[in-house]
Amino acid sequence: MLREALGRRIDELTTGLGAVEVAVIDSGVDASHPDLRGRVSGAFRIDCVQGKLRPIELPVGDNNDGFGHGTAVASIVTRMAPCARIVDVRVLGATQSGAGAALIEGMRVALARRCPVVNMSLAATAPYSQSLMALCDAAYRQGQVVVASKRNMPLADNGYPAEFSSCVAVDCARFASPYELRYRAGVPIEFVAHGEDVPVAAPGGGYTTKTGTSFATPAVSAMCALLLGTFPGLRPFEIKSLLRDAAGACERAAASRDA
Amino acid sequence: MTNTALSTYLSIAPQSPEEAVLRLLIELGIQVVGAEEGSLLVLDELAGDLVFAMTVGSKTSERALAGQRVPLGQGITGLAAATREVQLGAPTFSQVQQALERGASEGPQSVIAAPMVVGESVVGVITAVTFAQGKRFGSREAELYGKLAAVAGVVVQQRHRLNALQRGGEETTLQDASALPPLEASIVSSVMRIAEARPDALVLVAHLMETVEGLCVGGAA
Repeated sequence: MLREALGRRIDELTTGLGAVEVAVIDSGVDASHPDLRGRVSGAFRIDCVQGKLRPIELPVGDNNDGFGHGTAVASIVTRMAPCARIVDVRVLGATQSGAGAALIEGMRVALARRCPVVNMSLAATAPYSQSLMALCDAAYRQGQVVVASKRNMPLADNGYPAEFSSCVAVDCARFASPYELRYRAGVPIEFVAHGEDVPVAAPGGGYTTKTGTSFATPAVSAMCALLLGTFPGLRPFEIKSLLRDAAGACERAAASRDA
Repeated sequence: MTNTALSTYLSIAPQSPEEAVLRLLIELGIQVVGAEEGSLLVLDELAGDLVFAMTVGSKTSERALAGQRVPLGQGITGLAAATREVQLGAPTFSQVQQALERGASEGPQSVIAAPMVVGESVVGVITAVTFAQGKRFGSREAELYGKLAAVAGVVVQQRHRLNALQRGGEETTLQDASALPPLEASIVSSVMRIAEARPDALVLVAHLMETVEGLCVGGAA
């Protein structure tokens, strides 16, 4: 299957696609937004119940986003990958305060549901890294691709889970196409995607633009969904190889444009 | 109110060197990124709000914003605090094309919100705002502002350490708390900051903790 997929342009994988669930572990998703209506297949909120963080399943189709971050991320995935179905896992909000513990519970939801692609446009801090690494390894063994963003402003680390080899790590740059990709050899953050001034859906039905690694990451998640929608049996290491192949093709095309 | 919030929540006194450094950092930041205004918001953990403590660049905004509260679960400043990440904001439009073409809109055109992190805790957020039509901050400006927020965090941390030394006790810092497991570290660092900034609130905190403990025991039974 890898051989069949090699050399195919990801942005041309538009026909005969099977639905692929992409877990968006984030601030929630406004599933009532015109761009996302009918594209969200599951919704959860991580909340404190009797002193413990637990996932609460929510009705699909409502606005579950407090910040707009998750809606923006989900809209990039659905625009780029028509086969993507979003599983909204809300771990950020007024009560969760972005705690790494909530992020870990969110990851557990994505694992239990076996979403083929998991988008993490968030980073946990070092104290949570070991728990998160075990979950990302488990996802890798189950054949799930975890796509994680680098911190926008790394100080001590690039952010977890982006540093783990079991994940596809993403930095951002300005490219002409959202399908443009670059590969960096020898560094933990191996891929660079378009993440500057990205048009996105905003909660309530409007649109805005977003900049940062958080918005480059869903572009890569969408590419993973397109690959899996066309070649459902691909394993995470094969997906990484295909992304690297696609990045090489983009670099060659850019070089010939510049020449 | 401008400096009251700084002193209440960060133990930084009005007209102290730390206050001057924080003001300089924001002045420098807005000059470098080309913003008209910049603010510092401090975290009021008890209320779950961010409070405007300092605004640079516009006297009108400084008067209007000082003491204003932003709930933690809302807006770009709340998002920066929740994610511990620099965030960029732009206006919302009804059509995607207007967003892409940077159509005309009222109010701020682009905002950077960068969290001030001390150990594992966020103590506040610094912002830069431009009102120039169509202008958008990019990731380079965001990274620069994030670095300034990191320096601002160190200024706050040094003030906390100095306070601890001046009290004559051991130099108990937020870093000690970060060596604990995440949940305990979060509780210890929160209580330490409350003890420094709002010693009057400790009785309330103790009462709340006892109440919660009572509820948990009751629930288990």
